[in-house]
Amino acid sequence: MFSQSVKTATETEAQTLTLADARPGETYRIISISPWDGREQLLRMGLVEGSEVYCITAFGHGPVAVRSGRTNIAIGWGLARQIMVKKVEKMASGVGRPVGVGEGRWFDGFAQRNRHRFGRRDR
Amino acid sequence: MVLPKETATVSAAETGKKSTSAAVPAGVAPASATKSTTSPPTITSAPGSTRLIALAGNPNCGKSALFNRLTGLYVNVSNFPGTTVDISKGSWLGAELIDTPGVYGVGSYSDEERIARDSLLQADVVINVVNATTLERDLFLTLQLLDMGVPMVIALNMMDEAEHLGIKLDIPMLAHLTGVPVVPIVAIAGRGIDELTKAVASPKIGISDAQAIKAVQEERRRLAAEAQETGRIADPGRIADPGRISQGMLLLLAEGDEEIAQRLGVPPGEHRELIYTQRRRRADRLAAKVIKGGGEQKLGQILGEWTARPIVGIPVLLLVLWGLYWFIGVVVAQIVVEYTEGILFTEYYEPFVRQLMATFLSAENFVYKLLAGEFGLLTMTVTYLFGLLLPLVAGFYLVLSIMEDSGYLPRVALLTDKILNRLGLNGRAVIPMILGLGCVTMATFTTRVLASKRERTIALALLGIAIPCSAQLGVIAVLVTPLGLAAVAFYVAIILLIYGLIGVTLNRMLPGRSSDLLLDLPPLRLPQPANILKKTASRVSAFLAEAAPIFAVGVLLVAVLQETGILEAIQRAVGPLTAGWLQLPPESAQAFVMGLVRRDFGAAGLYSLAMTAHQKLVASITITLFVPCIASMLVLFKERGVRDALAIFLGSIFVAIGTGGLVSRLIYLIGWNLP
Repeated sequence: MFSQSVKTATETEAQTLTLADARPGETYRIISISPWDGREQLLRMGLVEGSEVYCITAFGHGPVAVRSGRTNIAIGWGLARQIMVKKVEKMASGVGRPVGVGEGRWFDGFAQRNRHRFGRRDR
Repeated sequence: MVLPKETATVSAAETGKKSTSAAVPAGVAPASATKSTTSPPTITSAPGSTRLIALAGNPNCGKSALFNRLTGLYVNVSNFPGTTVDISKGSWLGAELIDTPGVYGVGSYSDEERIARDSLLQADVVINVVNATTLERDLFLTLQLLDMGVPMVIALNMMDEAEHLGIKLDIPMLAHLTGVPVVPIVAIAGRGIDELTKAVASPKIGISDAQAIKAVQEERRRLAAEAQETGRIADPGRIADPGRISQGMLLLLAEGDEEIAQRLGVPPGEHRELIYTQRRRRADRLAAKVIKGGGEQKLGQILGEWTARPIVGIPVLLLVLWGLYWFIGVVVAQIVVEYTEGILFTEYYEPFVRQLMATFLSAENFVYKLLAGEFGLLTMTVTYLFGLLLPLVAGFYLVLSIMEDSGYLPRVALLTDKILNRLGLNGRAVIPMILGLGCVTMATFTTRVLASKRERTIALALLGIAIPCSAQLGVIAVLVTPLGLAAVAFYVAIILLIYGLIGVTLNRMLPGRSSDLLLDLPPLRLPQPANILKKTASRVSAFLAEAAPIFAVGVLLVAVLQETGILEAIQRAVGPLTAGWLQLPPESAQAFVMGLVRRDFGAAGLYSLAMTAHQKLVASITITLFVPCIASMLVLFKERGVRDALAIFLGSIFVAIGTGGLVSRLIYLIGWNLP
């Protein structure tokens, strides 16, 4: 079963990433999840093809923690490699984004609200 | 209690369902299946029999808090997913209320799920506890319960936290879309409990997904066809009519639950992928309609995310470990124990008892020696248990409870995942390990949260050999901390080294591959002092209840061995090992004999010996790695059978003695002069 899922990973297009390659602070959209035992548990916890996840932290060759909706989930490296993702470019405004996803850094909102105190900030 | 119309219609199906689980042979059925013989076959059964109400919900959604609130009992509540691994039962409103382990869905994915599934299949009413702050996730289980067609009520918990986060929920909309009553509650504060009580009196069967209903009907037809063909399903005479099998059973069959399929005597269904994907999408749609306000990041979330990042998380983890060492190793093990053991018990209590005993018996009498001698039941036992162990164990559980309730432990799981992978485990295993530092016996049960047999074997071996329990650790802290920080670091390094070696070796040896980490990271919360104290008290009393009798028996055994001269014979017999190989005083053999009874007891035996600093360190390392105590051996037998338990038992003796001797020589070799 395991070798089969690895094959699925290599068959996918070269430019798609796996969640194991995710970098903190970036948002990703899930393209596919390999059909193995972990899949159903991911579905239950709220991750499905099309959902967007914000990467909180990633340990090289180690686990990844993502935020999906209001839930934070830690995903081990092996499982993260079974999840094909595509990077989502940050939108200019918060409109249309799912709750809690892709909010950028936590202090962004604070900086935004207090912009007059800090002057213009270049992004 | 007024029964709603809907429940009456399922009573026929209930009958079939109940007898189905009764038809399962005892060996196959989980413990909870025994329940079916005593529980009523239908809701509308004769008066005097009780209804079964089950709490169901995701991990860490507050089921146990609600259970405590409703029954007035106390079961452990913490901010860690998967605290409840067994079901707790209590009575509420004249019905039996059961607290099930938290699951993200019903199935046979893990032991917890199997336990939850079987209690849910038997329940007359289900209270689905939903965390209002993580609605998208929690709704998956809710929708599955709706698809199962059980009469239910949704208890929307943690409304205060949702409010605090600025999350606005359209509760009537949720009730409308699910078709069941929804009651907002705050379980820990007791808000909304009256409303919940009223709602539970009239639960509803909610709106099932069309796809799921189709699958259920298809399974029913499949069963009917099967029944016609073979003339029976599973047990003959019991479930001849597929029309009487409950919707819940059929749904799980359609979702490919192998155990349910086995019980029904048919191959599992093949609709899981479709139903699950459909259900996930329905949950997302529902959440989008119900969640009105966005919600913002509050301190708990922000800190929660930062402590998960290595750059902050690792320093914080080191700080927490240092704090743990300082509190247990310095404050409790030295200052508090100095007073309780050194002054209160040794200077006041023991002389008093000896004096009292001396008025009845002569000091040469065997009974006197038994009660008030060197290993006296009323002297040493009481002093060790209350003067030495009680403060240490209480201190440890206090810290552990604070860590649990703050929600910090899942971060530890995340931070240690990569290292534990090398030992053939994943981050989840850090919980049994940390609990093992409390009590190895209790932790042995929690290894059930680990997904595979392989991981459980590794975790149990590590627990049995290289994890000292709090009582033992406490005594060792008293022994080692006065030798200076270098000695403490050396002790920790050696134990970690052995820990790593055992893990890596087993990971290489055992066939297969361990599962990956998949863990919910709850937000950090400020622990509630009341819950912390309650939890610490309940654990400490559990410790005393378990330890005191075994301790007393152990003391008695050693006293008898000493009086009969057997102890001396043993000391002589193992002399080459203790004095020769380990380079310890010959009397240390007695500590190891005591260690066979209880780990901390063995360590306590060392405590009373006159040893050099060098010997203290070697003895501490050896006794740490020495055999698990009788209680955890018994649990090990029960959980894993004779072969594994014996392997761990013998392995630990070998590792302990081997390491002890090597370490002793190593200290000489590097020319380390301990103070």
